[in-house]
Amino acid sequence: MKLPTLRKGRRFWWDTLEAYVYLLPTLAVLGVFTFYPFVNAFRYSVYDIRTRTVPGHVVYVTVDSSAWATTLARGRIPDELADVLRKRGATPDDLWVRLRQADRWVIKDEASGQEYIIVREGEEIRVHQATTGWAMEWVGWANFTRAFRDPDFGKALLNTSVYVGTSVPTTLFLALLLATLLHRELRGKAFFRLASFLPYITPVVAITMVWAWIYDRNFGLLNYFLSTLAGWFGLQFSLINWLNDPRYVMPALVIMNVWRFTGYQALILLAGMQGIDREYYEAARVDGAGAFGVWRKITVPLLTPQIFFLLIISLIGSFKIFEEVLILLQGPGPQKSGLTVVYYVFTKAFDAGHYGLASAASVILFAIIFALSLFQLTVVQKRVHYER
Amino acid sequence: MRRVAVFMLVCALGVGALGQVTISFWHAMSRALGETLTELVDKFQEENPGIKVDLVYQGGYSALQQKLIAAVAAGEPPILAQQYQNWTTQWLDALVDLDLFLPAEIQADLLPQFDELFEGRMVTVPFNKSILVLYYRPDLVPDPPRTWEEFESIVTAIGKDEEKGVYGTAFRPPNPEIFLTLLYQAGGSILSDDWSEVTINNPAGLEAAEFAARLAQYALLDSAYTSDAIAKGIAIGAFIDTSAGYTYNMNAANAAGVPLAVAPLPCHDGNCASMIQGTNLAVFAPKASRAQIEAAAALIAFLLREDNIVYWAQKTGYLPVTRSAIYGDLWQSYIAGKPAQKVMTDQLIAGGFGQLLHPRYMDMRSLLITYWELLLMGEDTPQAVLDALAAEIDAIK
Repeated sequence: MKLPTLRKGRRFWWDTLEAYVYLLPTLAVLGVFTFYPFVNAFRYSVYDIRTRTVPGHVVYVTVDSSAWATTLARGRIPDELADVLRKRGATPDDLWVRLRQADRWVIKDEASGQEYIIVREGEEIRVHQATTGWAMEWVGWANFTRAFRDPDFGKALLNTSVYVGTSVPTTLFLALLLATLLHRELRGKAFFRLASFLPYITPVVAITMVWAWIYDRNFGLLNYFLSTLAGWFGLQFSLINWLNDPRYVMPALVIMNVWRFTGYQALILLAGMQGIDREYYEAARVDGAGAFGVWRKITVPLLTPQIFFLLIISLIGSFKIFEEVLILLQGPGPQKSGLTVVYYVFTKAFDAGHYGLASAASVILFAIIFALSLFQLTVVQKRVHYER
Repeated sequence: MRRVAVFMLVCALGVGALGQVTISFWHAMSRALGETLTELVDKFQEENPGIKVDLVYQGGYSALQQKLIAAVAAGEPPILAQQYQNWTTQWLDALVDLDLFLPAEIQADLLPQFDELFEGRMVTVPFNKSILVLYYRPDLVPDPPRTWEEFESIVTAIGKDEEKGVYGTAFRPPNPEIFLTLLYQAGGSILSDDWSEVTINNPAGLEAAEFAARLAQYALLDSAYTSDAIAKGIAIGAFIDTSAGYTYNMNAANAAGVPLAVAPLPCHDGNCASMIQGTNLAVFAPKASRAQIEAAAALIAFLLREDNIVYWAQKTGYLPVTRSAIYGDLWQSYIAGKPAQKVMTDQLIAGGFGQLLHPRYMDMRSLLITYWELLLMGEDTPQAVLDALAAEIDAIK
């Protein structure tokens, strides 16, 4: 018997190389904007990161602390220090003080750009080479502990879970209904398909700006519509403060995103429906099944691959809700009712400068999404029917 | 003044001799404010041909803050930037001690309200500063309140009718500076003088919190600027807002066809403290050459010169930050015919106080926002809100 050889031919390697050349631009973009930040988030999560002037190796030590302190406090370089740095190649005229505190000074060598930090400890003064910039200090699990102890993070987790738990099934259910309608023969089908897809391809910023107006308490379209509807039925309706009442902020976010994604999901499901073999339907009809029975027993089960795909994609996407909060609420919303995990990460990193904490929060979010996706891939997928 | 002129001339000649020095200046001044800043910077460049200023508008304050954070982290900060004091603590080590580069005359000319040192260092100077004042509807409030009691009775009398869009007052939950103003007026503080103890839940703090909670029952609570509500035709009897919002509030009132006027803040037992708002200027050191830092200092000195800071104030609604400007003829003759600006000026001089310059103030402010909102929403008793706030501040102080 002839065993298959592991040795690949020249042709194979050329094809592989060619494929990687084509992939290179995408890999470069993904590498810089996805993989590198992804790995760094893990790294940063165990550090306290701040902008500091960090002492390097010691250049000089003296005990003449008071004379040095007096001269440095005047913004001048002590002669002894100038001599020391001259021996290291600096020109005394290029040295200048840029930071002075009671026991800590920073001077800069204009020619080389090198900074030196002078630290007084008791009677002793030490001169170090120094660098000013992002300084990382190992803190272990401290950022994770801090995140879990932060009530805001708990609130963000809860809000995000509520959002995911309501928007994902609602969108999927409505998309299934819409797809069923679009699957039927009806006039203007092409128009309805396009119309339902439009919210998905419209930029989220534009959508959110429009919805901010729709949700306006006094002049918004939604309250106008609801009050008109209530009027028809002779009901009392008090205007809902969608964006400023903590009870309605989450529903507002859910409604907007259900509207945004239903059309997209419906088209995916519609494509799935069109791929179902007509023989199943014909056989069911021969057996006397009704329209709803056919839908429930044939369409839905055979759509489970598409439903499963949408479930995973929308679950991951919903956990990452951010732009809507930023634009619609211009903040975390009243009583932080719209605070989501990604918004928490964003504010901790870019408003408060707590990069370590923000990274830890993002790692926790990753772990949650990873665990849920794993659960879906192992447990939920068993209920998916693949047409054979 | 002569020394300042000589200093600027020396800077100009110095950098001129070495060739042109370019400095980047990041700011968040949009529309008319941005145009006025550009005008002043152009004038500076005309007077200092050796210095080129790259004036970069970075969007609103949040965008500026986020871009500064990223730029400092990347080691590529601008030379000069506007910044709130509570941002400053994040990159204190990267900033230049300005007192080493600004003439002593300019440093001495700053109003005592702006005498601010971070860890003993003068790393920022005030630039676009405003103060909290009271805005009121003369048709609803014929006599503006002078005390807390009068303020409360006016607010209570107007009441709150959400359907009609009528409110006694308005509070912005993201703006805890109003609470801090009430706190200081009541004689309270966030921390003790030596920062060793949290004092915000002391009796003075409770008095301020209870007062705010009572007013909140009749208040429009909206995180958007109050001018947005006014423009929509919502009637608000009297509300505390920054003097920098003057143009926006007046434009909104004009659009809604309602009158609006400015009065000093109601005081408490004669204490008329009012929190100063607005940003400062700071110079980043890591990538800067000495010539660039001197050029940035020359620009700061130019902007703080009496004629320029008064022009800036007249055009933008901010207040002059130097003694020579605020007490000088230029500003005094300008406000003589402008009652609103006179009120703002008097409020700054008489009661202006700045931010707590604690290294963790940024986190404290975040907590203040959270609990100020809880207080306004009436989620818990003022004492419980203050106690919870005090415990959280104590944990980070």
